[in-house]
Amino acid sequence: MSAKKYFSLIALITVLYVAFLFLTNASLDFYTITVLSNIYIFVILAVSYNLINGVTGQFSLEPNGFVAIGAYVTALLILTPGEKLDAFTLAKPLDFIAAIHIGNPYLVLVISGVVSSLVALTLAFPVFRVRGDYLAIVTLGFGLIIRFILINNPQISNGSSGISGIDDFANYIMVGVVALITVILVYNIVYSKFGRAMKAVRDDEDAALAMGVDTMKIKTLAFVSSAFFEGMAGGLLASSIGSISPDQFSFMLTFQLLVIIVLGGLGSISGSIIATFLVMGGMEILRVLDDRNFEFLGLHGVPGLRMVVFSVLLIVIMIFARRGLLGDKEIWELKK
Amino acid sequence: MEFFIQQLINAFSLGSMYALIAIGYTMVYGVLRLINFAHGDFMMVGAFLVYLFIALLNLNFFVAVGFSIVLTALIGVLSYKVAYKPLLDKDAPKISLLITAIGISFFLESLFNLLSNQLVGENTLAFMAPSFFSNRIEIGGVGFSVLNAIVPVLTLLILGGVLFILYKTKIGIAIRALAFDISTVKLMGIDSNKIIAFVFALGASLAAVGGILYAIAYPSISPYMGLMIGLKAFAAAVVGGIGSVTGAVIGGFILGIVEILIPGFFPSLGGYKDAFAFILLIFVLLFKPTGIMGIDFEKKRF
Amino acid sequence: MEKGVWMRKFVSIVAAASLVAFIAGCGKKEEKQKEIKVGILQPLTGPIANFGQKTLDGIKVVYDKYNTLPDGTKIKLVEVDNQFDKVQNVNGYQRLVSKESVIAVEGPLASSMAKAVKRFAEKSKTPTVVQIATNPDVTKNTKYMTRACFTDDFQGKVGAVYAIKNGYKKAVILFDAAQDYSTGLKKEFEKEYKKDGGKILAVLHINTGDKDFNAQIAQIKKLNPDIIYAPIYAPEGGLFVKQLRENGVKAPVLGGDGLADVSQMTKLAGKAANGVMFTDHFDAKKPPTNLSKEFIKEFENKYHRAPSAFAATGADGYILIYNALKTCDKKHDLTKECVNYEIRHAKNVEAVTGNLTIDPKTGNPINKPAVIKKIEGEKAVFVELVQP
Repeated sequence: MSAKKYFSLIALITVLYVAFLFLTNASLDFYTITVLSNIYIFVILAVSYNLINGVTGQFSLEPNGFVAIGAYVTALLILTPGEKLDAFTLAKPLDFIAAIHIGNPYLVLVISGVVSSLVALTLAFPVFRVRGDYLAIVTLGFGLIIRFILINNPQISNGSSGISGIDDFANYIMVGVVALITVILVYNIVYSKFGRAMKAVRDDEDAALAMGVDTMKIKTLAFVSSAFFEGMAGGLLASSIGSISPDQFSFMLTFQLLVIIVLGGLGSISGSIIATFLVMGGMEILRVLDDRNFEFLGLHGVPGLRMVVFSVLLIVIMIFARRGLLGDKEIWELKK
Repeated sequence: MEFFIQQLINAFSLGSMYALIAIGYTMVYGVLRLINFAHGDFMMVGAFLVYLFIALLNLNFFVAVGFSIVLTALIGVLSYKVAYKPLLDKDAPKISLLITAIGISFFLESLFNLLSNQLVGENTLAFMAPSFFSNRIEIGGVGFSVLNAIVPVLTLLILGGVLFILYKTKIGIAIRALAFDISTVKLMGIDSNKIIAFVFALGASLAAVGGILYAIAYPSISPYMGLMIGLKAFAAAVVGGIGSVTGAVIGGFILGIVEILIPGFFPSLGGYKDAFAFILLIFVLLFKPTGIMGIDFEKKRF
Repeated sequence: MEKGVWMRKFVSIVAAASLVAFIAGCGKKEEKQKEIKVGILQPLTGPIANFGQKTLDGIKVVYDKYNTLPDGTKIKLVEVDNQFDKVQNVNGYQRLVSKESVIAVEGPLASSMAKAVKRFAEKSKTPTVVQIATNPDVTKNTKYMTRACFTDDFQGKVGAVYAIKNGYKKAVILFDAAQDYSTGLKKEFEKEYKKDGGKILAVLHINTGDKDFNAQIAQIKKLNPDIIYAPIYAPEGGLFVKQLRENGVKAPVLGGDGLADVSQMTKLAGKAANGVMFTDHFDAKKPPTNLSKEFIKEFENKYHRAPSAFAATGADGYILIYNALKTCDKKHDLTKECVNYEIRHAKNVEAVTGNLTIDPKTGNPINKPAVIKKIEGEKAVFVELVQP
């Protein structure tokens, strides 16, 4: 597609999309808006997680760690020193933590992303020395270690009590726009020479190495980019929920994302987007399964049933349709 | 000095529980090169089943334990037959197996969460073990419970049993052969399925024993307890040398010692107790990935 | 292959679009005539399911009697389980307000949950009666959050006063760093205890979900305090006390209402639970009002056991709401604003744990008494009543 055609397409999509955002914002009720907002944040997460897992083929379980970092950086930056002294109930915050304050939410989000990617950069060296299954365990361990650091250092994070009173700058429109920007950026990464190299690493790392691809650099690039967007999404989450604590960023979060990208098709951006709507929307709808008042064919809803169904779905997808909805193609490529 | 011995006893007790779970992990990895994320949940299943058998069916404790071990073993085999085998047969990429393992782990956790909430009314339960396990014995100023005395001995006996199976029985030879080269074994006409199923059953039952012992020592059980403990047991297996049963036990003991003694002598580090396993794991992976027993997978097994 | 592929693409888009439409559609609900909804947001499953269930039991007993307004409007209870999970809690609250259009919410139980809904209560201007959450932050700087029980300031104070009065001059505090409830109580106890001349030997912490307390117990043993103040929840409290006694520490344990789940404490700690003391909101053997007496009678008829503090506070929360609804109904002003005003300005409303008068400036009740109870043989035994 020529550059001119490409840019006009992007412009068209953007205009239509922003119009859609404003329309829904005005017409839907508060609860639905909140659900959609959450879905948009998860789109950001899914699309970036797919970058390292699906496109580059490195089975990493890192999102909950980077999301946590992003969330806390946002919280600590956006609150004023006065608000912070109030919010830190377990211990006095370190002086520089209390003093630092950046009021511009966009800047804060970008910084959150940058901090996450810096952490990712440091991690990349040891982490990519191990392959396959071990990578999963190490990244899982990383998420856990982040949690430990947050819980045991109340002077930085207020420990397990967490931080509350975070400004809610992350409204529906803003989240929607950030999601669009993320998708466009990730798309550009995937369909660039870097993206091709990532897919080469995924398909056959040894062959890629033999062909002269610097696999370490490519893997690091994917990892760091994923971390950036995941960190930003963390900041958005912190703002939309309003309060954060270490146990919100558990393995559950990574697990949900895993289900989403597998369902959508590892390596497909449009697949991840569609799957996010299906899974998050589906979970909302499945919520009735948890409600005692729900009845279907004489069977009552039962608390906890939703998660059971969810996990069975994942297993079934893996056994029968492990390439997911779109495999590794985009929705407009399906005829191939 | 007494304090040290006291803590050491606690450490061996805890370490044994990790060891029992680690054995199963290491054996499944040996034959399938698969990290069965769901393995940690087998220990939870073992403990919960005992609770449910006692609370709902009023069974005697030891009868409940027996049933629980058998049932957990069956669940282990089932998870293999239903989820892993179809993928292995299709030659699915590793990542699919790992994702499925996570799915099964999550399934077990949610299922028992559901059962617990429905059948008992809440999901954090007080495990009821016969009280004689808590009886204290005092020797030379050092006090420990009957449980603390039994557990390490039991674990070493079990280790002996497993090694016996592996080195002195036909099925043991088959298991070791499978771990060595799975394709050749299949070519030789041996039914690898039955053997793998046996490994799963054995691993799951050991995990169940570990889980039940853990529940006796720390009587508050919840459906999600298996996750963390399973990960630590995996770390123990890697530290000891993944693929080696003896290594798993050694790794378990090391982990137990580190988790109990370090907070004991440096109380301020107490909050990081759970992190030690991962710190150990990362060190080992970075500097000596084959672990203590140092088995190089291309050469020797178990 | 082409047709199948096209089908998948088509199906995916249609599925995603219809899901969005479905969720959006669910946003509009018809309200039946002459019915008004009150939301009940409690932890009905999860680690403190016991607390939530007992609360619901208490609510149901009063609801059975008081469920219709003077003009014939029926009150409908909409129960939502927050599973003691932050995200479910916030979602549940928003669902009640936005989709169910409730006129008031009772709950959520526990300070961490209550604090999390503050922002949404204020935004949606929904009168929210937190029937049992003691951290002062829950009602600080809010107009729409009202509390039906005493706060940590009071509870912590009562604990400290009681400890000093009984000669326990050296204390070790063990609190749960993951719970606002626990950190609140620790702060207040510390303040009052030091003021009254007590000495705090150490402040140790645990985290919700911890099972092994040997490290902390080793320190306690070395310090040899007169008393251990442990304002934690029962799942951890039970294990802690068991291990404490196993290690030979004999010092008495005093906690807050988080330990009030006597059955769980005894199940976890066995005999070690005996002697554990805690501050609580209510004792069925000492009913403070006529309505209490009635309530206890009806509760025992329905459930064949005595009501706990959870049931009592649950009932009180509902009574506050019902009272406000009744008054507003008479004024023909069944709006959230009116209901909130009436709740905030409640004066001497006869309730189960006492007569409720709310201070409109703070949203907290004035003059709520506390009781001190002790666990003995699987039951909680009344020790004394403390009036502020």
